[in-house]
Amino acid sequence: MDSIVRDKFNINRTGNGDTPVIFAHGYGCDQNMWRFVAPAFEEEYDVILFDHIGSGKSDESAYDYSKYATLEGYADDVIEICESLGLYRTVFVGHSVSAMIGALAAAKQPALFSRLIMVCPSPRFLNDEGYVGGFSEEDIGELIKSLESNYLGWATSITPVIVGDPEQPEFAEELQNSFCRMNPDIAKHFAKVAFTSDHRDDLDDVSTPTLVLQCNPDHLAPVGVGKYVHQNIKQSRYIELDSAGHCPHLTSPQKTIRAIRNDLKEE
Amino acid sequence: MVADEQLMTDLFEDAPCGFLTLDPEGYILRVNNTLVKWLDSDKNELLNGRMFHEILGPGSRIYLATHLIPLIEMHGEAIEINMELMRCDGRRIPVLINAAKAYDQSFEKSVYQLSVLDITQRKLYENELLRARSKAEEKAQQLEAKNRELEQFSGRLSHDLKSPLNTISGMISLMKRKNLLNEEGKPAEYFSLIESNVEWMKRMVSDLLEFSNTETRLAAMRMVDLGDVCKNAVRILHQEVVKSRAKIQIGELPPVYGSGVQLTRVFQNLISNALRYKSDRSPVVEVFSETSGELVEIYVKDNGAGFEPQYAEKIFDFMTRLHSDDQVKGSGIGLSICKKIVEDHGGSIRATSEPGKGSVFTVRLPKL
Repeated sequence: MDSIVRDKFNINRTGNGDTPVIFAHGYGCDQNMWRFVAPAFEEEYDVILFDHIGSGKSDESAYDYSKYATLEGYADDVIEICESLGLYRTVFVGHSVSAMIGALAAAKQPALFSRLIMVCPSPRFLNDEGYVGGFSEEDIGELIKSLESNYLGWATSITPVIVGDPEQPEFAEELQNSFCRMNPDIAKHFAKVAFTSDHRDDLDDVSTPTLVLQCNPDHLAPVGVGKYVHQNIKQSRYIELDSAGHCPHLTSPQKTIRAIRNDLKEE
Repeated sequence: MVADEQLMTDLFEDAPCGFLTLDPEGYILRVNNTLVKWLDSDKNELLNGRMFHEILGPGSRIYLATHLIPLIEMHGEAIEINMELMRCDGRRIPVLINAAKAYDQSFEKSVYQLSVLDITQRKLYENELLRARSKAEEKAQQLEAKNRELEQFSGRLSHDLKSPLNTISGMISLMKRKNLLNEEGKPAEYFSLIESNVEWMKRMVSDLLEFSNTETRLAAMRMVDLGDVCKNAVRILHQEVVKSRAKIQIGELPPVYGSGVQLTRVFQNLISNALRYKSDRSPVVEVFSETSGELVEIYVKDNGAGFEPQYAEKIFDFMTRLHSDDQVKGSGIGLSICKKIVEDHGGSIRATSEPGKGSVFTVRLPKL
């Protein structure tokens, strides 16, 4: 693996299998969001985890405000990762906003992707005429305020020293202030871009077979939105996880693993 | 036991903070009376399949999914998270949330236990502080801009004044060379006065220019050897040194962090003063240093005329002199330049003296 690309995106590649599966985290944190799900695929697949530029331990200096003013910038990164790692016919698993990032990447370079798995996707979070995204512009402004009020002064805001989850002590050593660490300006910029962009029209361009994994209720990406995505991607399936909330890969990892595995087996 | 149970229940229900138990998927499993009261809601209503995000403000709703839940899942806890509750009537309550993932006996599963603190007053105070800070920052920026403007102005002015002044003194020199001012009498006397005033103005303009240029830019700071600085200063003052038959002794001087150019100016001014404010004896100037704790102290000692100790602070004032220009030429700016530079370097300067016994100027700078 090209070490420059590896360090730039903090790529972690594990697994014994041939088929590459790349997991993309959503807004707010980093690849650690997948730690209850990704390991389950190591035996049979080639598992790739990475951090978006500006998140986690990626190279923050590579964050370009004009490049990342749209999700296209992130899609180009995904393509760069796949090409650099020599990945072909990859399975792309994207959560929330990363589901769209995957869609954009697959539309641009379909040969790189064999399958898109969208976990709680949303092509547009803002409401529009005839479309309920769930949020208004003011709401996004409130999110920015929340971000600001939790960065005030204290460095421990979003990077507490690991206490150690008593249920999973093996993770206690690894996490050290790396989780959810984000430059405040980048965090605000990424939030604005992620929550105000509109990629409904891009769904049409996706020819890659897609699975939409929907939670019910999911207050960030409601059922109506998930169904919308399914209806507008030609080759797609829609599965409702028996789970609520927006982070099933954290709160219901087993169900998520099962749903993804079943889908991959059916291919 | 029953009494204990009742105590526990009361403590929980009527605690001065809100308690909330959540299912990781978001359902409200348990809520105490205090929180119900804050929300102006009904307990049964809240426990009837309602989800946490439903009692949060819109920004917090998103924040819950993007930050709070991930934190609790990854670290087992989340501490001091500032969010907003929202009541049915739309009123917002700013709160501080502490959460922990735990196994709940009654529900027989992992849950999130939350404590909720109403920080309405704190938030008002916080917002005031933020407002005050941004006002202060704005003011500071304005001041900086004004300062720069002023510096540029005085720089330009001094520069523009130099030229005509040079012309005037040039003309007078020319007249002297052409033997037009050699005769005794009033014209020669008047021109002598003109000349000395012009020289005074030139000095003043030059020192003003120097003062306005004395902004120690952090970018220019690096390790500087004070021994080299002093030797350099003496080199610049070579003519004065020779003319006054002065003896300059420079001891072992430490390195410091700063601007070589600015520090040279300091010692050039101090040594020049030592030469000019001399006594009947030939000037002897000693420069030596001592380290004391976190600071280095550099002494510039002379055997000159000295001054009254009561003026020890006044001499550093801008354009303040203890002598008239007839006695010793000077603009009264040199020491204020030294003070400005030394203070910009994080140090201090002071003077001790007694008339007839010389003076000691002490420059204190942070140790490297």
